[in-house]
Amino acid sequence: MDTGRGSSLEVPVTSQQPALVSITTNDKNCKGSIMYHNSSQRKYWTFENEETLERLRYQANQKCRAKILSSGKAGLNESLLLDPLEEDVLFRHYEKRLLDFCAVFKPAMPKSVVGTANMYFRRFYTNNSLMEYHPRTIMLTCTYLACKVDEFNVSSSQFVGNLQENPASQEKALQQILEYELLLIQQLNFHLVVHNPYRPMEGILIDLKTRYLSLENPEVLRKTADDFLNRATMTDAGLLFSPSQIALTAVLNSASRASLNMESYLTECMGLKDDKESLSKMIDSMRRIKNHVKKYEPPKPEDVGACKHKLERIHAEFVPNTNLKRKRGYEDDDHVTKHHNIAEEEWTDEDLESL
Amino acid sequence: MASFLKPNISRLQQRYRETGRVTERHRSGRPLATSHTDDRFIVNSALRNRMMNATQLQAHLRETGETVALKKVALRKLEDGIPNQALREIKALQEIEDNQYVVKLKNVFPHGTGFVLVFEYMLSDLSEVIRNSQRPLTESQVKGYMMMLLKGVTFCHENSIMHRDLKPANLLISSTGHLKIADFGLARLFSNEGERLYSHQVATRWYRAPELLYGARKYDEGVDLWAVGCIFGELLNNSPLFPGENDIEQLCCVLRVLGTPNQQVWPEITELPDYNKITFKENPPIPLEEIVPDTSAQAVDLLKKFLVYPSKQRISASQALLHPYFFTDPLPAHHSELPIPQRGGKRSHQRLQPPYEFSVDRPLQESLSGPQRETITEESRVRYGTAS
Repeated sequence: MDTGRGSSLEVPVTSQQPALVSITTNDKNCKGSIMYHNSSQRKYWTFENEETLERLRYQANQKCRAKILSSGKAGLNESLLLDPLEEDVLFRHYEKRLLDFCAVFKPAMPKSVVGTANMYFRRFYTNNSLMEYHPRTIMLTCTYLACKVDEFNVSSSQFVGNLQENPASQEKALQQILEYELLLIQQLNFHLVVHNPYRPMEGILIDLKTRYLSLENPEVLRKTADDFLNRATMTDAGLLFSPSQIALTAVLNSASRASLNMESYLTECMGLKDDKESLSKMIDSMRRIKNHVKKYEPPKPEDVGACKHKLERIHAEFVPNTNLKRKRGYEDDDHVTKHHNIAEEEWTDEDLESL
Repeated sequence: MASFLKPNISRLQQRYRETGRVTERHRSGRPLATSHTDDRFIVNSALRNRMMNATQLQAHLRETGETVALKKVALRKLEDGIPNQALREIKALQEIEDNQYVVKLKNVFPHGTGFVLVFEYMLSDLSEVIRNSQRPLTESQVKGYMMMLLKGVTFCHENSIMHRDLKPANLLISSTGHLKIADFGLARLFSNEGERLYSHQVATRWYRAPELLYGARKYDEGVDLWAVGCIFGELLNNSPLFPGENDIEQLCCVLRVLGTPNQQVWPEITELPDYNKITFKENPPIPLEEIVPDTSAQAVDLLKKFLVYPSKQRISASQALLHPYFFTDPLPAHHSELPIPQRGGKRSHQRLQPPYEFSVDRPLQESLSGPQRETITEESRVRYGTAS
């Protein structure tokens, strides 16, 4: 009995596919909008160009510096604060730590969770300075939230159990995570769904097997393409390009490494032959993605050491931890202690007063 | 709770009348630490929705005067932080485009120790409509509701969202009679990868699909289609189709009507976790005609297509919309012909008269029912309705 919903694998079967449709939409369920095409990621978190991102980070840095300097604390001077380049060094350091933490996480963490956590981390520090929020806490909070959002269900104690620390510090880490969770989703603007390039890559491999028969065994491309995607996570590619573009770049890059020419896949299967404009745009995007990946280098340990020293001092001496409470919108401290055991979702007296 | 809410609200309204603003001060006299919410809403009344187990506030948006519903998600100091249900709801609703049959999430903002979801305001829900209607709904009204429900479900499923808790109380009714699916607290995005295990403790019992009752951990959007069938039956009968008192009895209710399942009718049943834990007496199915008496043959035919054991064989929402049921006389009621009960337990009253008379002189397209004609009929209500 055909009820119209069984198979849903909709791999395009003609070569007449409009190119940008087949590379900007996902591999499955080609209609509907839990797709990158209509996503909050595309609308709010895919930025125009590299300069935009640089400007945002610069602004976040300047804002935080001004704020700290205006506090007029004793012993404070500009040279003690981080500049944008130093923030970038530390950012890459903690991003690496995030990925390492995820890699050894038990039970094994699905790639999409890791990708989501990493993307949260990048989004967060697009508009915030590391001097204001310590990246160690934010990186754990991002990972914890990603687990929940991606329905990778681990309990909070299981989560912090993955930290190589004693129970007391695990408990403390958990408290910090829970304290920062709300701040994080606010800073993410409540946009929680992240589209990673992993599924599009599967889609492209399936497409290659189905329609691009001149390639004998597309699976040989997988390993190098996977590596490419892993490296791409540590760049701004995810904030600038669609996941399917990144995935396609990974596959084509892998092919050229293996000295396989796949240009005809773009022209024939993607239908870009007669659409020179889209084709050149596509090639340009891929070139930019490849550049991002190529020029990535891990931060130098000696730089990290120096910057970290500064960061710790800033957090210990110049940035009082009270700003979190204000950010979270606590009315005042009594509010927290008085009402913390009131049932969830009940409107309280004080809610009404503050609305 | 409600008793002390009242004076507060009236005080807020009072202050608003006096000053045109609601700027609250804390009891101590200090201004409240600002959240940017202070000035945006005027709270009208507290609405307690028992079924959703949450308290909603009705408020006017200051800028536009639009009425909205506020749903608070407070963070208990619980060990796991922001509850998954709240994350799922935000996730599902933030990503989907506007749809007429899905309640719109207008905004999310932080508040106190949690955050508040701002929804479009809905007057009532389908369970109230069923409970309060003095006579059974007419066939055309049932069709009207089913059509809107199916359009909403089609939209969700096309967007890879399983609602997992469809029931009359989650189908809200707007002041214009539109039905919209709400409460995505259990919704999840599904993928067709078929690896992930889901919880079977979803869906309110009466609307829970048989595979869930047998403890299935891998299931699909078919659970929503089963629920749609249950809601359909409830609309036809004015009472729930399978009102089980507990999980075991729920299964009995279903089995009594559909017959004891076996491998012939439901091959996958043997793979379900609880299949062998409980055996039932062999029992032949009862024809659905007897379960929903006085119902047109087409209605029964459509109902049958939802209420089948194997999930994959249930008719999809989009296919169901093409069923002859919706194309035979009486045609589905226009949303303006549907009852709109008042909140707060007041008796519903059917509209005294339809908003316009059919007339041979009117252009055909204005007589077409279906919500997509809303703008036209709004006009025609002005043109014809007020005149009559």
